[in-house]
Amino acid sequence: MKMITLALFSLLSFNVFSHCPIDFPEAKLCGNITWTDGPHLNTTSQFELVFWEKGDHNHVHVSPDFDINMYTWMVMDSGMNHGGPAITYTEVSEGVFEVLDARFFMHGMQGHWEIRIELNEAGQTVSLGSDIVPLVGDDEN
Amino acid sequence: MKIKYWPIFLLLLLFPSCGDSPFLNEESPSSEIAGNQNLNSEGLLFNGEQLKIQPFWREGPFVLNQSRLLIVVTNLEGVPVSPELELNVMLWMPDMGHGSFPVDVIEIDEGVYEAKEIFFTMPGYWDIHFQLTQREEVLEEVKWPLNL
Repeated sequence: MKMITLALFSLLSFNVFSHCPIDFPEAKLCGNITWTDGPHLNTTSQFELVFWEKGDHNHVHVSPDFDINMYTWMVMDSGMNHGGPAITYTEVSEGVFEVLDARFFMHGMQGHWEIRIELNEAGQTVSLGSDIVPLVGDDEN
Repeated sequence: MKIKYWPIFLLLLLFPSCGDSPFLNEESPSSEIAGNQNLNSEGLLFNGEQLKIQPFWREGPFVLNQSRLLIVVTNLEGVPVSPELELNVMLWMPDMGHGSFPVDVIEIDEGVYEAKEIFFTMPGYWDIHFQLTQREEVLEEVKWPLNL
Protein backbone atom coordinates (compact mmCIF):
# COMPACT_ATOMS: atom_id res chain seq x y z
CA MET A 1 0.00 0.00 0.00
CA LYS A 2 2.87 2.31 0.91
CA MET A 3 4.48 1.61 -2.45
CA ILE A 4 1.29 2.40 -4.31
CA THR A 5 0.85 5.64 -2.38
CA LEU A 6 4.45 6.61 -3.06
CA ALA A 7 4.15 5.80 -6.76
CA LEU A 8 0.91 7.80 -6.99
CA PHE A 9 2.49 10.75 -5.20
CA SER A 10 5.48 10.61 -7.53
CA LEU A 11 3.26 10.63 -10.59
CA LEU A 12 1.28 13.57 -9.24
CA SER A 13 4.47 15.41 -8.40
CA PHE A 14 5.75 14.96 -11.92
CA ASN A 15 2.56 16.47 -13.32
CA VAL A 16 2.43 19.34 -10.88
CA PHE A 17 6.07 20.28 -11.27
CA SER A 18 6.44 19.52 -14.97
CA HIS A 19 9.02 21.77 -16.48
CA CYS A 20 7.20 24.28 -18.69
CA PRO A 21 9.34 27.38 -19.30
CA ILE A 22 6.97 28.87 -21.88
CA ASP A 23 3.41 27.93 -21.14
CA PHE A 24 0.72 27.72 -23.80
CA PRO A 25 -2.18 26.65 -21.57
CA GLU A 26 -4.88 27.02 -24.22
CA ALA A 27 -2.93 24.75 -26.56
CA LYS A 28 -1.73 22.35 -23.83
CA LEU A 29 1.82 22.88 -25.02
CA CYS A 30 5.09 23.96 -23.49
CA GLY A 31 8.05 25.60 -25.15
CA ASN A 32 11.65 26.31 -24.38
CA ILE A 33 14.23 28.59 -25.91
CA THR A 34 17.91 27.67 -26.07
CA TRP A 35 20.31 30.39 -27.13
CA THR A 36 22.80 28.99 -29.60
CA ASP A 37 24.52 32.34 -30.16
CA GLY A 38 23.91 35.13 -27.71
CA PRO A 39 21.70 36.82 -26.85
CA HIS A 40 23.74 39.85 -27.85
CA LEU A 41 23.10 43.56 -28.06
CA ASN A 42 23.75 45.30 -31.38
CA THR A 43 24.62 42.17 -33.28
CA THR A 44 22.65 39.19 -34.53
CA SER A 45 21.67 36.44 -32.08
CA GLN A 46 20.47 32.90 -32.70
CA PHE A 47 18.19 30.56 -30.77
CA GLU A 48 16.20 27.38 -30.98
CA LEU A 49 12.61 26.99 -29.82
CA VAL A 50 11.15 23.57 -29.07
CA PHE A 51 7.60 22.51 -28.24
CA TRP A 52 6.30 19.52 -26.31
CA GLU A 53 2.97 18.46 -24.91
CA LYS A 54 2.26 19.86 -21.49
CA GLY A 55 2.86 17.25 -18.83
CA ASP A 56 5.26 15.20 -20.92
CA HIS A 57 8.33 15.04 -18.73
CA ASN A 58 10.28 13.42 -21.59
CA HIS A 59 9.80 16.61 -23.60
CA VAL A 60 9.17 14.74 -26.84
CA HIS A 61 9.15 17.42 -29.50
CA VAL A 62 5.83 18.00 -31.20
CA SER A 63 4.92 20.27 -34.04
CA PRO A 64 2.15 22.63 -32.92
CA ASP A 65 -1.06 22.21 -34.88
CA PHE A 66 -1.30 25.99 -35.21
CA ASP A 67 0.06 28.79 -37.33
CA ILE A 68 3.03 30.23 -35.49
CA ASN A 69 3.88 33.90 -35.31
CA MET A 70 7.11 34.72 -33.54
CA TYR A 71 8.50 38.20 -32.90
CA THR A 72 10.67 40.22 -30.56
CA TRP A 73 8.98 42.65 -28.18
CA MET A 74 10.39 45.52 -26.16
CA VAL A 75 8.73 46.21 -22.81
CA MET A 76 9.87 49.66 -21.75
CA ASP A 77 10.03 50.87 -18.19
CA SER A 78 8.04 53.91 -19.31
CA GLY A 79 5.06 51.62 -19.92
CA MET A 80 5.38 51.74 -23.69
CA ASN A 81 5.79 48.51 -25.63
CA HIS A 82 6.74 47.93 -29.22
CA GLY A 83 8.08 45.34 -31.58
CA GLY A 84 11.63 44.80 -32.71
CA PRO A 85 13.38 43.95 -35.96
CA ALA A 86 11.53 41.19 -37.75
CA ILE A 87 12.83 37.66 -37.27
CA THR A 88 12.52 34.64 -39.51
CA TYR A 89 12.10 31.07 -38.30
CA THR A 90 12.32 27.63 -39.83
CA GLU A 91 11.06 24.32 -38.46
CA VAL A 92 14.23 22.29 -38.83
CA SER A 93 12.77 19.10 -37.37
CA GLU A 94 9.55 18.01 -35.66
CA GLY A 95 8.72 20.73 -33.12
CA VAL A 96 12.13 22.41 -33.38
CA PHE A 97 12.26 25.97 -34.73
CA GLU A 98 15.48 27.77 -35.56
CA VAL A 99 15.93 31.55 -35.54
CA LEU A 100 19.18 32.92 -36.93
CA ASP A 101 18.43 36.63 -37.16
CA ALA A 102 17.23 37.95 -33.79
CA ARG A 103 18.37 41.54 -33.24
CA PHE A 104 18.34 43.41 -29.94
CA PHE A 105 19.47 46.88 -28.99
CA MET A 106 18.85 49.42 -26.25
CA HIS A 107 20.06 52.69 -27.85
CA GLY A 108 18.44 54.96 -25.27
CA MET A 109 15.68 52.58 -24.16
CA GLN A 110 15.15 51.36 -20.62
CA GLY A 111 13.39 48.05 -20.38
CA HIS A 112 13.70 44.46 -21.47
CA TRP A 113 13.26 42.39 -24.62
CA GLU A 114 11.00 39.36 -24.91
CA ILE A 115 10.50 36.66 -27.49
CA ARG A 116 6.77 36.33 -28.07
CA ILE A 117 5.19 33.32 -29.70
CA GLU A 118 1.60 33.32 -30.89
CA LEU A 119 -0.22 30.11 -31.75
CA ASN A 120 -2.89 31.12 -34.22
CA GLU A 121 -5.84 29.41 -35.80
CA ALA A 122 -7.97 30.93 -38.56
CA GLY A 123 -6.29 34.28 -37.98
CA GLN A 124 -7.09 34.32 -34.26
CA THR A 125 -4.54 33.95 -31.49
CA VAL A 126 -5.33 30.84 -29.47
CA SER A 127 -2.38 31.09 -27.11
CA LEU A 128 0.44 33.52 -26.48
CA GLY A 129 3.68 32.58 -24.77
CA SER A 130 6.69 34.73 -24.02
CA ASP A 131 10.18 34.50 -22.63
CA ILE A 132 12.44 37.28 -21.38
CA VAL A 133 15.65 37.63 -23.36
CA PRO A 134 18.51 37.26 -20.87
CA LEU A 135 20.64 40.12 -22.13
CA VAL A 136 23.53 41.04 -19.90
CA GLY A 137 25.32 44.35 -19.50
CA ASP A 138 24.09 47.88 -19.73
CA ASP A 139 25.15 48.60 -23.26
CA GLU A 140 23.43 51.89 -24.04
CA ASN A 141 24.71 52.07 -27.58
CA MET B 1 -37.36 69.27 -88.46
CA LYS B 2 -33.71 69.98 -87.91
CA ILE B 3 -32.31 69.65 -84.36
CA LYS B 4 -29.56 72.01 -83.37
CA TYR B 5 -26.95 70.22 -81.21
CA TRP B 6 -24.61 73.09 -80.50
CA PRO B 7 -26.46 74.33 -77.34
CA ILE B 8 -26.04 70.85 -75.82
CA PHE B 9 -22.31 70.89 -76.45
CA LEU B 10 -22.14 74.35 -74.94
CA LEU B 11 -23.91 73.12 -71.82
CA LEU B 12 -21.50 70.21 -71.53
CA LEU B 13 -18.59 72.63 -71.63
CA LEU B 14 -20.15 74.76 -68.92
CA PHE B 15 -20.60 71.82 -66.56
CA PRO B 16 -17.37 69.91 -66.45
CA SER B 17 -17.31 66.68 -64.54
CA CYS B 18 -16.58 66.78 -60.83
CA GLY B 19 -15.08 64.32 -58.40
CA ASP B 20 -11.84 62.40 -58.40
CA SER B 21 -10.86 60.26 -61.28
CA PRO B 22 -11.09 56.56 -60.41
CA PHE B 23 -7.55 56.28 -61.75
CA LEU B 24 -6.33 58.54 -58.97
CA ASN B 25 -7.78 56.46 -56.15
CA GLU B 26 -5.06 55.29 -53.81
CA GLU B 27 -5.09 52.24 -51.67
CA SER B 28 -4.85 52.57 -47.91
CA PRO B 29 -1.34 53.38 -46.73
CA SER B 30 1.05 50.49 -46.36
CA SER B 31 3.94 50.26 -43.95
CA GLU B 32 6.01 52.17 -46.47
CA ILE B 33 7.00 55.77 -46.07
CA ALA B 34 4.46 58.58 -46.33
CA GLY B 35 6.32 61.54 -47.79
CA ASN B 36 8.20 64.33 -46.02
CA GLN B 37 11.55 63.18 -47.20
CA ASN B 38 12.76 66.79 -47.26
CA LEU B 39 15.28 65.97 -49.89
CA ASN B 40 15.68 67.68 -53.22
CA SER B 41 17.87 66.83 -56.15
CA GLU B 42 20.77 68.65 -54.45
CA GLY B 43 20.91 66.03 -51.71
CA LEU B 44 22.13 66.72 -48.20
CA LEU B 45 25.17 68.90 -47.68
CA PHE B 46 28.08 68.45 -45.32
CA ASN B 47 29.15 72.08 -45.14
CA GLY B 48 32.47 71.47 -43.43
CA GLU B 49 33.69 68.75 -45.73
CA GLN B 50 32.03 70.31 -48.77
CA LEU B 51 30.41 67.03 -49.68
CA LYS B 52 26.91 66.11 -50.75
CA ILE B 53 25.12 62.88 -50.09
CA GLN B 54 22.17 61.50 -51.96
CA PRO B 55 20.38 58.54 -50.36
CA PHE B 56 18.14 56.22 -52.39
CA TRP B 57 15.89 53.53 -50.95
CA ARG B 58 16.82 50.11 -52.28
CA GLU B 59 14.29 48.37 -50.04
CA GLY B 60 11.59 50.02 -47.99
CA PRO B 61 11.47 51.98 -45.87
CA PHE B 62 9.46 49.48 -43.85
CA VAL B 63 8.35 49.21 -40.25
CA LEU B 64 9.95 46.18 -38.50
CA ASN B 65 11.28 44.61 -41.70
CA GLN B 66 14.75 45.41 -42.92
CA SER B 67 15.21 48.43 -45.21
CA ARG B 68 18.27 49.20 -47.30
CA LEU B 69 19.72 52.43 -48.65
CA LEU B 70 22.13 53.25 -51.42
CA ILE B 71 24.09 56.39 -50.55
CA VAL B 72 26.12 58.36 -53.06
CA VAL B 73 28.69 60.83 -51.73
CA THR B 74 29.86 63.47 -54.18
CA ASN B 75 31.90 66.64 -54.20
CA LEU B 76 30.14 69.90 -55.00
CA GLU B 77 30.61 69.22 -58.70
CA GLY B 78 28.63 66.02 -58.37
CA VAL B 79 31.56 63.63 -58.81
CA PRO B 80 31.42 60.59 -56.50
CA VAL B 81 34.24 60.70 -53.98
CA SER B 82 35.25 58.68 -50.96
CA PRO B 83 35.36 60.96 -47.93
CA GLU B 84 38.49 60.83 -45.83
CA LEU B 85 36.27 60.45 -42.79
CA GLU B 86 34.13 57.40 -42.12
CA LEU B 87 30.48 57.50 -43.10
CA ASN B 88 28.09 56.33 -40.39
CA VAL B 89 24.31 56.11 -40.40
CA MET B 90 22.26 56.26 -37.21
CA LEU B 91 18.50 56.08 -36.69
CA TRP B 92 16.85 58.17 -34.01
CA MET B 93 13.26 58.69 -32.96
CA PRO B 94 13.32 62.09 -31.23
CA ASP B 95 9.75 61.94 -29.90
CA MET B 96 10.53 58.67 -28.13
CA GLY B 97 14.12 59.42 -27.24
CA HIS B 98 15.62 56.24 -28.58
CA GLY B 99 17.34 54.80 -31.60
CA SER B 100 17.44 51.43 -33.24
CA PHE B 101 19.72 48.60 -34.22
CA PRO B 102 23.13 49.70 -35.56
CA VAL B 103 23.09 50.34 -39.30
CA ASP B 104 25.69 48.49 -41.32
CA VAL B 105 27.39 50.78 -43.88
CA ILE B 106 29.70 49.34 -46.54
CA GLU B 107 31.49 51.23 -49.31
CA ILE B 108 30.84 49.31 -52.51
CA ASP B 109 32.50 51.71 -54.93
CA GLU B 110 34.17 55.14 -54.97
CA GLY B 111 31.70 57.29 -53.00
CA VAL B 112 28.94 54.68 -53.21
CA TYR B 113 27.74 53.03 -50.02
CA GLU B 114 25.18 50.43 -49.13
CA ALA B 115 23.45 50.80 -45.77
CA LYS B 116 21.65 47.70 -44.51
CA GLU B 117 20.33 46.45 -41.18
CA ILE B 118 18.02 49.48 -41.15
CA PHE B 119 15.13 48.74 -38.80
CA PHE B 120 12.40 51.22 -37.97
CA THR B 121 10.74 49.54 -35.03
CA MET B 122 7.55 51.57 -34.99
CA PRO B 123 5.63 54.01 -37.15
CA GLY B 124 6.13 57.71 -36.50
CA TYR B 125 8.74 60.39 -37.01
CA TRP B 126 12.35 59.26 -37.43
CA ASP B 127 15.56 61.09 -38.17
CA ILE B 128 18.20 59.33 -40.21
CA HIS B 129 21.55 60.80 -39.20
CA PHE B 130 24.33 60.68 -41.75
CA GLN B 131 27.55 61.22 -39.87
CA LEU B 132 31.15 61.74 -40.79
CA THR B 133 33.19 60.22 -38.02
CA GLN B 134 36.78 59.73 -37.01
CA ARG B 135 37.62 57.09 -34.43
CA GLU B 136 33.90 56.95 -33.51
CA GLU B 137 33.76 60.70 -32.88
CA VAL B 138 31.12 62.49 -34.91
CA LEU B 139 32.72 65.45 -36.68
CA GLU B 140 29.80 66.44 -38.87
CA GLU B 141 26.29 65.23 -39.48
CA VAL B 142 23.16 65.90 -41.48
CA LYS B 143 19.66 64.63 -40.76
CA TRP B 144 17.08 63.20 -43.10
CA PRO B 145 13.61 63.33 -41.54
CA LEU B 146 11.12 60.58 -42.33
CA ASN B 147 7.53 59.95 -41.41
CA LEU B 148 6.59 56.32 -41.31
